[in-house]
Formats: sequence, structure tokens, C-alpha cells
Amino acid sequence: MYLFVYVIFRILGKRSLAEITTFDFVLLLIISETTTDALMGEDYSLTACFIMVCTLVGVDYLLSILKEKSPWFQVASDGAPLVIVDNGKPLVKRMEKSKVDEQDVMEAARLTQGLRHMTEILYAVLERDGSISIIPKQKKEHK
Amino acid sequence: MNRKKVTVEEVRPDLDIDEHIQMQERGWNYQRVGLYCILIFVVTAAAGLYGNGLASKKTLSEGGTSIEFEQFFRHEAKMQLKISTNSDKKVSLSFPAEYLSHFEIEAIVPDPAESFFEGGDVRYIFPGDDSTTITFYLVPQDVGNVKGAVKVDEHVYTINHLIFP
Repeated sequence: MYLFVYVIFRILGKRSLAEITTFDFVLLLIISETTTDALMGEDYSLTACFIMVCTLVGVDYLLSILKEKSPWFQVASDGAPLVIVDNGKPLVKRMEKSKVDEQDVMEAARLTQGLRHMTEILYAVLERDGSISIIPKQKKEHK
Repeated sequence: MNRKKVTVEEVRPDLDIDEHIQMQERGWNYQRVGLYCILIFVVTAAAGLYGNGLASKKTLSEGGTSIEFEQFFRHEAKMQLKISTNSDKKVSLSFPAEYLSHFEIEAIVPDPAESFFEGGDVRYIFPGDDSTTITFYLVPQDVGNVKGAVKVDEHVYTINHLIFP
């Protein structure tokens, strides 16, 4: 079940969890409810609960160790950062593949840097967690 | 060095960043395949390939008797096995005990007048009527192929199920 949920969210891509709408939130609650039933069945004992929690936490811990040991596995499971705006120019193919549009980039630019135009962005990077980090042009010029 | 063709823009940003662009490309391809798999799964589920649908329901008919059952079903989910007959005498049904051991019998409607073991089979006797429909509510306890048979009076009908986890 852990693997199934892991694969599903990997298929949906980085941005699936980064921009949660109200409906996505409700959907997540439904998913958690559905998986709980399949995992626990009608066993309401404390022991079953302990086994399930320990199994999930254990698998998660093992995966984190695996990611630490193997950079390849880290990139395969979490992805890698991706430059989507280079010197004010949106990299359309990269954005299309990552399901990100210019509005997402400008939203991040406004929220984090107070920028008004795409041309003010030196680099925009789609990070591993699905967030977009913005490096404005003037910052480089001050160096 | 044998480098695969990159389908996105190649950039050389002045950033300490490792984009692993080849792996990103591979990831996007896997994502596309994954989405197709989800689509296929949803369509086959709607068609009843995992139970409760057209692809799953099967009816065997002979004379005045018909047996309706699910060819595909899911572990721990409740399914129906319907036996309809127009015999006005007592109706006798028997299942191999081995077959029934794969299920939890949640209910039998109507209740049988008698039920007993007979030579490795479990036999149920129901009072007859002009048209009798007997429904077994079964919950699969095992996964995989379950082969069985039901004997209605003297006719034997083979029923197989594929139970998904």
C-alpha cells in the first residue's frame, strides 16, 4: 500500500502536492480514509494499530536511509531541481513537461520577491518539493 | 560518450545545481506510462474486470435453472451467487466443501430447510416454489483462482472465480 501510494504521487509529479486547492485537500482526506480501510480492515485492536504505524514509519525510515546512501535513488524518488526560467526567458518545454505555467512562476515571483515582470527574473527553479524558487536579476548585479 | 538526446532546452545556469536532466527525462516518460496505466486501470474497473460489472458477471442456464455469479472479484468484498430454478419440488444444492472453504458465507436467502455434509460436499435443501431464487452472500477469504462447482439437483455447473487482492 505504501509503495502504491508512493508510485501514484510520483506519477502525478512534483506540482501535485505543492499547489493544494480546497478540492485537492478533500481528495487527500478521501484517499487517506480509503487506504485506512484497506490497510486495517475490521481489525480495531491496538496491536494492529502499533504494527501498522511501526511498519509505515519503518518503511519511510528505510527509504530515507536508502536515499542518503544512493544519490541515484534520491533523484529517482524525489526528482531533481529544474531551471524553468533562464535570464527572463521561460523555458517552455521544461515547463510543459513539469506541468508548470508562466502564471505559477509569476505567482512565486510576486509572493517571494515582489517582482512584477518575467524579465526581472534571472532564474526560476522548480525545486524537488514542487515549490518554485526565484532568483531576481538585481541580486546578481549587486555582487 | 553515448548521451541520449535531450528533448528540453539545454541551459548552463550560473547556479550550484545538478539537474540530472537525463533522469528527469526518464522520469517524465515513466510519468506518462504511469498515467496510461491509471487510465487503463480505471477503464477496466468500470468494465467490471475486478468485479461488479459486465465483464465479471456470468450466467449459466440450463433447463429451468440459471446460476449467476462473479468471474472476477475482490478479496474480503461481498459477492452474490444466485441460483434460480422453477422447480416446484424441494431444491437440493451442493457445493464441494473445499470450494466453500475459500469463502465466508455471510448469509443465505432464503434460509435452507436443511444443511449437512455428504461425501465431501455441503448440501443444502430448500423448499420448492414455482420460481425460487436462492442467493448466497459470499466473502472471498483467499486470493487467486478459485475453482468449484454447484450441483443443482442432479446437474453439475462449474463455477470459477479469479479473486484479486
